[in-house]
Amino acid sequence: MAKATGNDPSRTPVDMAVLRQATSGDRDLMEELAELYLNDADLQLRALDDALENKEYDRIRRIGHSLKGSSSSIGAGTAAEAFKSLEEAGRAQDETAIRAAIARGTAEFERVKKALAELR
Amino acid sequence: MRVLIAEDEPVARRVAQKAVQGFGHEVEIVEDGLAAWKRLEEAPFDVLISDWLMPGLDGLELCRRVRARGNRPYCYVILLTARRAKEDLVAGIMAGADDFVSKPFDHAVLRARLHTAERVTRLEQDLEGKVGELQKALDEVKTLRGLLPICMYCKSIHESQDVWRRIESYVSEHSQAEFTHSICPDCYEKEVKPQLDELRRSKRPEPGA
Repeated sequence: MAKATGNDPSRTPVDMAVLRQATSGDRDLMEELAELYLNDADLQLRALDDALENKEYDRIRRIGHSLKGSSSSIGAGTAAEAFKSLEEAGRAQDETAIRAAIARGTAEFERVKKALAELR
Repeated sequence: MRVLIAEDEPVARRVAQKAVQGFGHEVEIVEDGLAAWKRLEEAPFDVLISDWLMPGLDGLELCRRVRARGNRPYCYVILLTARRAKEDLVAGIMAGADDFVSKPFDHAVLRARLHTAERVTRLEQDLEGKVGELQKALDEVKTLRGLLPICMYCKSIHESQDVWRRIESYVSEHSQAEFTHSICPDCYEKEVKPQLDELRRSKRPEPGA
């Protein structure tokens, strides 16, 4: 399987069905979750730079795990996949793979951000 | 029910909190295992819904600690997990988990699991109430046991250093038995009858008076 380093524009960044299911269609809650996700992911992505600089691979693995979970909770499947590869790269302490996963995750995050902005 | 939710991931935490509140339960949330343990030590919860992987104290360890507390009100533990491997399931059960819900969770499934939790915690509470009643009853039953030093003649009981108690008062105090006095036929013959005879004799007019 080829390692994707870029984003996948053919797939929708946020599966609204997942978000609707999680919120039972509550519009306010959807917006609240979107904000929670964006703030948390932003913080975690920033922490990644620091972790990479200090070669804290276990921290990178944990951040990858957490971002994978929150992306999946919000229905951001492609971002969740990118962060899953970050978690795995962190576990393998593979710096090249970590950098590639961060690039892919960041690009996916930007797409998710745009999609969630349309909610408001 | 009082439900504690331990989840480090903010979106899942909020989704779980909203859902469980929506089912009509009282919900508290914490962000990691250590905070969950602290809350569980402070207050009783009927159900703990915990993420598996959390910083500090993970769901498995939290579960083990809850079970190691032993004789507390029962806390039903549901582990939230994306894990489906057989080994994980076994590890969760061995740690003391009652049930598992996979993430991201389905509302109907979580609701149904909480319904089971309610049934089980009610059974546990009933049982606990019954055990408490039994214990109370047992505490009230006083028993006399051991070696009692008793006087060979007057049958007083040697209670402490210089204290000898009449057997009636000793037994009354150390058991639930109470005394009602009467006279046995042997004692009637031996004690009462001679006294009555004596009385009758003393009342008979003296010859020649």
